[in-house]
Amino acid sequence: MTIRMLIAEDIDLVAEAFEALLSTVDDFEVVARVNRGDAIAPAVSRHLPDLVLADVDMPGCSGIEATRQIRDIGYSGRVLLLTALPGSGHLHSALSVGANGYLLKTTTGARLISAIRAVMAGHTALDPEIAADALRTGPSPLTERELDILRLVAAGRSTNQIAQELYLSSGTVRNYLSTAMSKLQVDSRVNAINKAREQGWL
Amino acid sequence: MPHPAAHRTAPWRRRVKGTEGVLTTSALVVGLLTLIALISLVTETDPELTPLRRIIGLVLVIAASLGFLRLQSNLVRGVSDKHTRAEAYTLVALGVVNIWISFSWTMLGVSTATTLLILRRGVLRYLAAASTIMLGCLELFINPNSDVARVGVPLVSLLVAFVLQTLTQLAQALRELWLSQEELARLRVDDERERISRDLHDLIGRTLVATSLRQQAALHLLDRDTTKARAQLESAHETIAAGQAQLRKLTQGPVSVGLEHEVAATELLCQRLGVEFTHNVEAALPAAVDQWAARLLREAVTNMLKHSSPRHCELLVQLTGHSATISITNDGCPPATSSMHNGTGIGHLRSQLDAIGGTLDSAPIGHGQYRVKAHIAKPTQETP
Repeated sequence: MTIRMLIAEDIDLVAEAFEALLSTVDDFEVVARVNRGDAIAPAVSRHLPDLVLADVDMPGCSGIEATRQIRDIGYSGRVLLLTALPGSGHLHSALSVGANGYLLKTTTGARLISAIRAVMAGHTALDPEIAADALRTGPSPLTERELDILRLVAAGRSTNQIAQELYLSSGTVRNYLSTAMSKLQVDSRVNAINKAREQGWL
Repeated sequence: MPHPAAHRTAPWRRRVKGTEGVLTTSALVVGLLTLIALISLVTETDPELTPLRRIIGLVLVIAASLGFLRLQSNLVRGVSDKHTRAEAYTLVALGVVNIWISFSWTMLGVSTATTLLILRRGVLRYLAAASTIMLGCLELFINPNSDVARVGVPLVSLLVAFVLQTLTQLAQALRELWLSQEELARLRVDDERERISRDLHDLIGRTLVATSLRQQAALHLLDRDTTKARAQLESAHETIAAGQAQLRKLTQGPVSVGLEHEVAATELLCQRLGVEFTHNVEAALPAAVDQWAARLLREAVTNMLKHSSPRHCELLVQLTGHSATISITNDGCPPATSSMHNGTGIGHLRSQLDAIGGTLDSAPIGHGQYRVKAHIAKPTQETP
């Protein structure tokens, strides 16, 4: 029985290569390819694939967000997410929105194919290193408030603007930021944002 | 990306640009007051003023003015630890005592300014300043003195105190401004490095992933369908070739729009940083020389800002006979400089110049100056 799959990847070079590899397997069939995160849900509704193979980092919305969307509309097929970043922060959110697998894009073809088969058979396929890292570092140390503030800093807001937007005093905002910085063990706001992004907490 | 501390000049070694004018004015005011104080100490005919008192008075007056100037310089540089404060408090105390010993009120303004400067914001400062003045003027009111003196001295002292305080705060603000401008310039450099590093990471990442997938596909097809396998291997090769081309383009650095543009950008940057930038560029340069000059100027200025504390920078582009000479010279080069300043940017440009028969020298030339100099053979025809 053929496994019909949808590939979501924004870099054409890589998307074509994925398709080329998967086409070499007899019972795999690539029925659609999209290059934006927000094109996944419509494509899934139209083609009803058995498996969605999606890049996490895409324009429009992330692969994780798209997974949430298709689960919300009742998609019951499998979702296998691929990432270029080895940080384990996104792993938690990926699994919680209903992905069945989370692998690195640099996985060998053989492992990718066996991961697809495992996921189709009902198992969860995780890159072992990412999983080990997730267990080691634990969930995000940052509170929702700290994340909100970091997001605003990343968007270029000043401390005073953040204070106004969140109805806090600028002293409080500064406190949250320095707590966040010491939790992440960095010495600047910029590094805090970088590290939080790396780990997938932001 | 944090940059290594070695590239940073310690803040107190940099000349504090922009504040020299303000600090000189302030020093003149203090100097004038000191002079007046000293003269009046020497020429005062009051019998109560014994020679011993005069001498103590002289010493304390000089101590007060030197101490104030030292405090001011510390504050402007951002140093205000407990030693500074202890010194300051001592000075104020000595200043007030001096009035009782040698009747010299001239420096009362300076002592009050000292009080104002070492205390943090708030009512306390003004109370302390008022107390200093009152303590100093107490002598005026206890001993017989003219009404003019009783009114004049406190008022003039207050005036002097506020003037000195304002000048110091102005100098402090100017220093902060200069420091943040410097930081901005550094961030610009870091930004560019970060961008290149990110682009590189993306490029290599996707080239490797795509190539690997194609080869895996070829392996799968090898036994079943040789034609398709071959097609996949061809694709793999194309992917790698494309990646190589993009890599070369990336590491060559941003394309310059021309020397005129680069000179304008450099002028703007130097103006913001208080560096005097002069340029002497011959008109009607061949396109190739124009491009080289633009790239060299950008690279040399970037390095200059990273490693030196320049006040002057000069660009010279001259055509002589069959060659062109481009040189960028700056001062403020720290003494420990050697060819460690030949980073990848300069090295890259040098190898490119070598390839077309030119030369590039980049080295300190003594007296704290640094020069980047290139010779290019003038092309016999315009390069497209």
